[in-house]
Amino acid sequence: MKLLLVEDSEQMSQFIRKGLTEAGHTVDHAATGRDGLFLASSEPYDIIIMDRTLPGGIDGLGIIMALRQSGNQTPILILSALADVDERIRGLQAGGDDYLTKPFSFGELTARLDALVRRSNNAGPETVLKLADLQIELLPRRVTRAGKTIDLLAREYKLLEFLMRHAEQVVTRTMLLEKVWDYHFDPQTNVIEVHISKIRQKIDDGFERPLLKTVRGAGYMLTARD
Amino acid sequence: VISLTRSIAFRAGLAQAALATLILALLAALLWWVITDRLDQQMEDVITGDSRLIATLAAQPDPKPAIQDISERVGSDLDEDEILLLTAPNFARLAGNLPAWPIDAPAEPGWGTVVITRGGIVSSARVLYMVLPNGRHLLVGRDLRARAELAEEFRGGLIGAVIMVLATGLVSAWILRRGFVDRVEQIDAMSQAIVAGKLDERLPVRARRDELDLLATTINRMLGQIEQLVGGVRNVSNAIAHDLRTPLGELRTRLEGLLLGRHVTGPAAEQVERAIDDTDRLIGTFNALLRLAELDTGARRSGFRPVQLAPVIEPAVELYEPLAESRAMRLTAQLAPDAPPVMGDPALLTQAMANLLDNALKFSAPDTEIVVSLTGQPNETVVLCVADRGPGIPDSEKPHVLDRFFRGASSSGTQGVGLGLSMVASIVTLHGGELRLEDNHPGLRILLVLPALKAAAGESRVRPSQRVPV
Repeated sequence: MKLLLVEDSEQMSQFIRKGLTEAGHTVDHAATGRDGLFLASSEPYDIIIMDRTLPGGIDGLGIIMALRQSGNQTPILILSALADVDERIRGLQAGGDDYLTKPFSFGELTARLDALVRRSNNAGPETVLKLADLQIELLPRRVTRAGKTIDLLAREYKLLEFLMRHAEQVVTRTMLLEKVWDYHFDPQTNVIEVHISKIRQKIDDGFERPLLKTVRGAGYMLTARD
Repeated sequence: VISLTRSIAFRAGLAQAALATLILALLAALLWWVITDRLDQQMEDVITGDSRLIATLAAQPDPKPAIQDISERVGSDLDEDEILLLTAPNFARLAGNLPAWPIDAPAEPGWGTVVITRGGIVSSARVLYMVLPNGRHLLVGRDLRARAELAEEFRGGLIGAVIMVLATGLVSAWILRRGFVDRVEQIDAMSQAIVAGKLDERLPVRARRDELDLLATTINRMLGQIEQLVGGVRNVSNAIAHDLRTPLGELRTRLEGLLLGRHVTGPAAEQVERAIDDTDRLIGTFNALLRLAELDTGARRSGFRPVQLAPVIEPAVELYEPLAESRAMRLTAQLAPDAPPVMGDPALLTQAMANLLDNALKFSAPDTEIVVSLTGQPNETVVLCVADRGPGIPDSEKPHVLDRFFRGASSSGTQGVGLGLSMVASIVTLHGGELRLEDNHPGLRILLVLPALKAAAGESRVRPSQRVPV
């Protein structure tokens, strides 16, 4: 996919460009706010990665607001060292779709980019989520695998639904904490791991092919591939 | 609003009025004593003079000149102030304006006071009793009615003066209170806002430059200094954030870049991964320190709103419950449904809750129970308690547990840098509450005692805090 990176730090942008290019994406880079706004409004992109503090007269939030006002709906991931809760709220209110604080891991970045692009591609409301023989009927909130009903607790259901909506993508611990629990800090212990293994027991135990996989050093993935 | 009896201005006014009344009473007593003394002296002088003249006449064997003189002086007229009575040695009346010898007249010659009834009016009279050489008795005196009337008038005047002093005292106290207390309350309201984190607020100083303006000026100067200090802390924090976190971030990127490019493999890659973990821990510690610094400035208080604690606790317990289960611990919540809301920041309270659970799970042994409870009295306090059956904290360590980077003897072998409880303590302090450590016999009970939101102030505004984006 085609990305725009608006980031003034030389080292940071090199790192991101290198990683994303190696993953097979096309990356345009703007080092100032002015260039960023120009590129973002003149070229079509699948997603924009936006730093907040930028030289060149206009900062990241200014660019986002300008784009949104002109009707540009390209998904935007805000990348910022401003980690405060209030700053996050400000970023999302300006029109950003997700907020990642520096320093971050590359795995976290790509996972979030994938999630954002996927979300913007999913147009109409779905009633059924399917992956191989695992299926969620959203309205009765019914989960079945190979026709067999699986009983889940409310929070487990929410967690599985999120994983299903991001099937075939890496989902990080932090993403799960933010999107499923609405928690924006890192608990010292890995609480998510246990939730995942409980779901894994329910959907994978007794079936030949496991669907919920742990991606080492990154997170988890619900996948039908091996 | 301060009650009337507790107001300094009002009490000062009252005290002033009381003092004025006391002085007035002393003055009146002195005046009364001097005046009556002088009046009595004058009266006795007159009586003595009269008695001498009459006694000379009455001492003669023939009573007629004396009787005539007495009749001329007073006749039988009872309206006269002068009182005269001459009797024979057997006390039979010879002349005078009293019908008979008074029974309360002095038994021995000399001064005395008698009660007389004249024309139906009872009054007292000062009298001098003399026994003449020929055995006759002479009573010379003056009615004290005039003196009683004077006393009456004097008392009336005094009471009027006291009432006036009290009235002016109360009125001036009330006026003082209005002017003074209004301004003190203004200063108080402003100070509360400043305590709540609005450090740029200043007290109004008027052109009059009275004592309160002087105080306000000093307080404003103090506030300026506090703002500067807090700003300094914030600047240092921002400097840490920028100057230390940024290079740490770059270090992390470099390390991760090595792995991404597959430049390193095998055992070297493992070392790089561990270096990344170390960097993450450093970054985590910096983040926690920055957060603590931010909490301590109190600025976060400006975003406070009414929060029900049960919807904050429940998801946190739910998040940690499977972890507890996997370690064979039981995590249960006992939340009183009628616990009142508090004024606070749900994101911070959630963080405090998570830190407490992290802590309890870290120190508990398998097959033990961790109980989270919420209790509270309306308009008083809300108490959130996390009780575990771990090793507890020895009394000697209790004062230090909340210090930054403190790790107790029993925490060796566990993860963490010792900022978790400091964070909880800072969050509780920010909310105007208190963190208490108690023995759970065995284990530890950590209590967060938070002030309950006053029912009238927030009941209608309270909404579940769970779904707010943070």
